[in-house]
Amino acid sequence: MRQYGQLPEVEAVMAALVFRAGPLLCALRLDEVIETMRPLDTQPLSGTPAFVLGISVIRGVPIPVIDVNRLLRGDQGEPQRYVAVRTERGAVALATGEIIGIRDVDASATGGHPALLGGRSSRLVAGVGTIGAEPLLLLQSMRAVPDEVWEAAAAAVVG
Amino acid sequence: MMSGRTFGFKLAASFGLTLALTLLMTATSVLALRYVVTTKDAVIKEASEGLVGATELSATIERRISDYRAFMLGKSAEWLTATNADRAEFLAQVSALRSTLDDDPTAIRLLDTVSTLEVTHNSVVAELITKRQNMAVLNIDVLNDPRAKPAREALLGAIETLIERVRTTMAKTRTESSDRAMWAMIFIIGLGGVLILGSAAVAWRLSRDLRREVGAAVGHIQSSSAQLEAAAAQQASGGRDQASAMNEITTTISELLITSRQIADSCQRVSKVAEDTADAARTGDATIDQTRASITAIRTQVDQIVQHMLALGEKSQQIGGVVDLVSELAEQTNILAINATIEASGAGEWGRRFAVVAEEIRKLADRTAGSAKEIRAMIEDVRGAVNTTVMATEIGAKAVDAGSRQFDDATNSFRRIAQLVATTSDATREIELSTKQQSTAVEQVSSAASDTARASRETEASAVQTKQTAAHLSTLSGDLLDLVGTGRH
Repeated sequence: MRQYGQLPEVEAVMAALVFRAGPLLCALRLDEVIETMRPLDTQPLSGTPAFVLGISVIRGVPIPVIDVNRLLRGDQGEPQRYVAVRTERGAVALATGEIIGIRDVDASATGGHPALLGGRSSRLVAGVGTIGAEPLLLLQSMRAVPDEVWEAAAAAVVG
Repeated sequence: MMSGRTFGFKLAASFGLTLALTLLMTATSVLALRYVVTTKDAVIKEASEGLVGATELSATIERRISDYRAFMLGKSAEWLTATNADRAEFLAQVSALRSTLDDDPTAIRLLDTVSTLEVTHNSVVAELITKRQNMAVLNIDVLNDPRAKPAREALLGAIETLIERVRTTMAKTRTESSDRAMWAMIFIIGLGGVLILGSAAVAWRLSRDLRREVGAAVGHIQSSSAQLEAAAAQQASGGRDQASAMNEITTTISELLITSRQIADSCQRVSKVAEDTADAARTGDATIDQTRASITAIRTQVDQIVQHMLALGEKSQQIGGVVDLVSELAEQTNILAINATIEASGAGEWGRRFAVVAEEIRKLADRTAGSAKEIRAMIEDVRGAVNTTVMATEIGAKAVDAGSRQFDDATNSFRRIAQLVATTSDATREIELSTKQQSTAVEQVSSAASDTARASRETEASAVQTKQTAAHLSTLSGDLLDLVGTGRH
């Protein structure tokens, strides 16, 4: 793990926000993270996948909310935090479990293992690392939200 | 006419009729006898006075003639007085005879003739007496008067005629009297025959009625006697059975009396036990009151414990509120520290230092959150313990309440038991008293049963006596039927 005041030893090591999605440990690149917050009021959206909880207004801007646990595991849990992240099409809120903290994550060790990065997850999981004995999934948030979600969110905002 | 009358009336009437006939016959006999006596008295009177008087006339005139002749012979004054007395007596006898013969005119006429002839004779005699008185010496020739003899014979003949007349009349009268007596005898005999016939008719009628009525009654008596004998036999048998049954009843009553006395003794013991139980119940009542006070005190203490525990729970909740606030602040601090770290990551070197500070703040916040969580867990434990204690205390209070209620129930039951024991004691005394009364009554019943048994034996004896009497009465009835001539049925 990386320490403040120390240079990164390799490019694969980066500061990331580590949190739990159910039993899984997940991490987001810190430069993708806008802020963390408590879960806000979320309005469900019709015509969206099941992992999309709905839409919330964060700092005056309506943004879709993605349940990471359901997205990764298919389970439905009570979110403890919302993590607002930047994407190419705007901010997105990820409903997560407990926020572990800011950690330096080395995502190069596992690379793109086909068993872990195939299918829909290949758009979300950028790499897999470890913290201690637990695996750590490095997420890339910009691919997490399908287009229909954005359309539905836009329709909801317009409506 | 006599139908419907009683036999006694008939018997009395028959005797009355017989008595009347007897009286009639007696009276008739008396009258007839009196008639006969009167007739005979008339005959006797006529015989004694008439015939005797006429005969005495003859005797008197004969005595005067004798006295006259004696005077003529002796010229004694004695004879003269005697002849004069004889003539006075003759005249008196004539007068008496006249009154006696006054119912016979013929005799009166003959008596008048005698009187006339006596006067004639007396005149002759008087002359001769005078001559004799004047005669100093007896001179028969002077004194021989030819009128004297005819006068004397005529007088004596008239007297004889009178005597004959009186004798004839007396014989006639005697014959008439005898005839009347005969007729009276015939009448009496006839009346006696009528009386005998009447008596025979009455006797026949009485005998017939006696046979018919008394025989029928005696027949009824005989049949009734037989029935009475049979009934007496049944009564005697019943009396024996009754006496036997009464003896059994007496034995049973004696056993019942013994049982009643045993019951009375048992009731007395039960009453003693009930009184002891009542005393124990009264003692237990005081213990119950003490226990009730203890339960009330326990209930009060439990209530205070519950109140204290509830207060402790409220305090714990207040602490929890503070801990929640601390936890909230720690969480907010954690979020702010993470966000500060995120912001600091894009701020270069200065941001990197701030990130270190923010991380330390986040760690403090985590520790605070951890401590708050631990405190929360402790508080939860405390609240759980408090809740458990409160629940246990409430359960205990409820148990105390339930125990109190059960104790009340037990107390009520105990008091109910005490009341029941008292009631049982009273009932036992009543049973004892009733049993004693029952014993007394049973003794009286036993005495009455003994009396009844004795009465039954006496009834049996009486029935036997009645049976014998009935048999004797039946025999007497047969004898009576023989007596009345109906014969045995």
